[in-house]
Amino acid sequence: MQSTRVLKRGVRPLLAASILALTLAAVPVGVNAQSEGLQGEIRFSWWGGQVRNEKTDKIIQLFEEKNPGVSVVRENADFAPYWERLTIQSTGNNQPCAITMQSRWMATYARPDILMPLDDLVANGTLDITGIPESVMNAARGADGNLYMIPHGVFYFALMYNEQMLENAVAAGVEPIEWPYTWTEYADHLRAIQPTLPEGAVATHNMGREPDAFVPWVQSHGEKVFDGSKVAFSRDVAIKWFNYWEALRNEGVTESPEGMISENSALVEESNLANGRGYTTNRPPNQLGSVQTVTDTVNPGATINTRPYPVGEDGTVGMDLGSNGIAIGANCTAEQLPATAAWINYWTQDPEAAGIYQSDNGVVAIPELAIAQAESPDTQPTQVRLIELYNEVVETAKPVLWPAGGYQAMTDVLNRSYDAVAFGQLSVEEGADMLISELQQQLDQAAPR
Amino acid sequence: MATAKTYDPELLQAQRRRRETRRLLRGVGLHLLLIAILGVMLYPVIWMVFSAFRPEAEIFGDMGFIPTTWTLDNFIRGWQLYGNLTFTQFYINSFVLCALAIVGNLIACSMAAYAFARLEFRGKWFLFAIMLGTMMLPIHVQLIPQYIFFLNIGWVNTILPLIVPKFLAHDAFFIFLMVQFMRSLPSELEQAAVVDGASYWQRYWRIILPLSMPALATTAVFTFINTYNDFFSQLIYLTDTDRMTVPVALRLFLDPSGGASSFGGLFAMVLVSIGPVLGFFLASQRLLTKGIATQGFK
Repeated sequence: MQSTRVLKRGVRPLLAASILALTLAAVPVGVNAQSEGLQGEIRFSWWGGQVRNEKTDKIIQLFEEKNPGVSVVRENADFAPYWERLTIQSTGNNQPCAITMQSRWMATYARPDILMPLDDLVANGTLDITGIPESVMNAARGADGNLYMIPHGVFYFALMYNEQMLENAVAAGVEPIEWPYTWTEYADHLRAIQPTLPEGAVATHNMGREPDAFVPWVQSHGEKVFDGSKVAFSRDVAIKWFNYWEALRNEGVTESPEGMISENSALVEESNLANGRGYTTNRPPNQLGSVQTVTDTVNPGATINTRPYPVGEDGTVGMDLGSNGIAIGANCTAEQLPATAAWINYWTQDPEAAGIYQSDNGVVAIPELAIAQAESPDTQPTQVRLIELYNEVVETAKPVLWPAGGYQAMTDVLNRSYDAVAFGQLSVEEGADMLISELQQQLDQAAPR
Repeated sequence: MATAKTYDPELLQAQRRRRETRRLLRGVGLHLLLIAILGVMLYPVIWMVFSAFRPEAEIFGDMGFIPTTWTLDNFIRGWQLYGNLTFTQFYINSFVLCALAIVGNLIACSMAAYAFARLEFRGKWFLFAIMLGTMMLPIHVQLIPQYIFFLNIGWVNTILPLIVPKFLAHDAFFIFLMVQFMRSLPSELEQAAVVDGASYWQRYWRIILPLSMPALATTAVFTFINTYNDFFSQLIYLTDTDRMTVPVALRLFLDPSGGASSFGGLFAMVLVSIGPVLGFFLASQRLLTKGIATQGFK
């Protein structure tokens, strides 16, 4: 963990400066909603596991203590069932007043009959967005231009790697690489590192079927992923993507097709990286802490770090940024609205709430709060690294505007098309055709009518 | 003239011994094979059982069975899910739901089954066919209309959508199961009751129902297991965390979206949650077997 400690000490001034710059660019609106004398019961829904639930419950308790007339009904679920339930609730206009929302899934719900457009509430000061960068706010808008959620956490995917494996490779003569590196340089780095790894380990997880890696690839090639609800990337860029991973697979630098599928679990505990069977993979950096914890038990002595995706040959950064925030259900009554707004303001703006949550679901969206977290002696080094990396990429990243059903469709079709290529059922050209045509078909089906 | 065939008793005895040895060896081999297959099948379960007693940090560090350090921490932390929510509340919620569902299914399905099996009325076979047809409707087709209906009458976030249909003979499978059983009962018993002046209700309550005990037990066991394990309906209709049931609460230990998961708590609570199903099954195993064996599922 030494390198992250060094980073924590050395990068702080840089971090503070970059965050200050972001603050200056932030939207200058900010009147806290009046919270005195609030009354009523509101429903709040969120997703997460035991740790996040504990933090959320603690924040709700504090809010209820400060607003004795308000009662927050808790509705939480695991990630996938959360969306299933919200969809069913929305069909009956029974969604909660305060709904945890994610930019990748928002398009499905971003309609005035499901979620309340929030621009007026922001304009009249009911909702406080002080300090939230404009780029992050823009990602909270629907296709109709309305603001549908107040972001509280920004998340992104990046590469995670085993520092000890890298150190061993460098000791064996492999050149380390410094970001920004291109996709070609990154592949060469992986090829060089493969012979230095322990037997059975691979240099990289096969990301051919991973949308979170495919998106940076597309955007770093100067193309858009979607244009509204249309597929916007070219057949050529999809063919190159499949060729990139097929070449690495055929050279033994990444997993076999079977290994690629078994490695696909989202659970940290099952990953090759945490278990010392892989040098690098792609994961959201907010998992750095849990990956390190698991690594400490199953592969003691190994340190996991994180770095950005490669850039295009011309230096174009392609990383996607997403945000988690809170939306208001369109069915929320006028009586419930003041308490709901006060709850959202408390969640997104209050330093005590942010201190409890500790960027659990994305880097806290307000830069001052991120500074406070990064500088707190109680903050884990992995959490500091999450905030640092965010600041490295935030200004050049390109948030994708996911159409309705887009993320799910991309995951499904990219999985199937690359699987077909890797298992030899389709050529890379046929795989690219399948990817584009079936993705478009699913987007058409999911498009709001 | 036919000659009498002679047998050497010693040779016969040796052949018999060889046959018995072969049978014994075959039996031992077969049992060893079955034990090996059982071991493979049970390995994850046994590993989970022991992992529930390991410190959280050691769970994925050791794939062996016996923990180096034994702890009950997972049970303590798991039981206290978060805040004021504990599994005590989830078990109460689940058991109340299961008990009412069993009562509802036993009463309503047996009455509907009696009507289909023993009574003659116009449109009986048409209605029976429709009832069977409902078994073939996927849950996803019914989900939204049902949800909107229950929402409009104010039943969402109560146990009513999960219980009231059971009292209205909603489970076609159990009606069908009991119809099959009741048809196999001798009609003379009921005819004798008719001669004695018994009403429909008396024939159902005093003759048919006591004789249908194996089918009722089967229905009770399957209703308990189905209700206890039902995740999706309970997720949809019981949204408030205070009303959560065991299967919904178990999902809250893991966070595939990137947050930290608690496998220790999960394994401990899964282990505890298996208890009621296993206990209920073992307690009613004899009736269950008899019920299934007499209902044409042989």
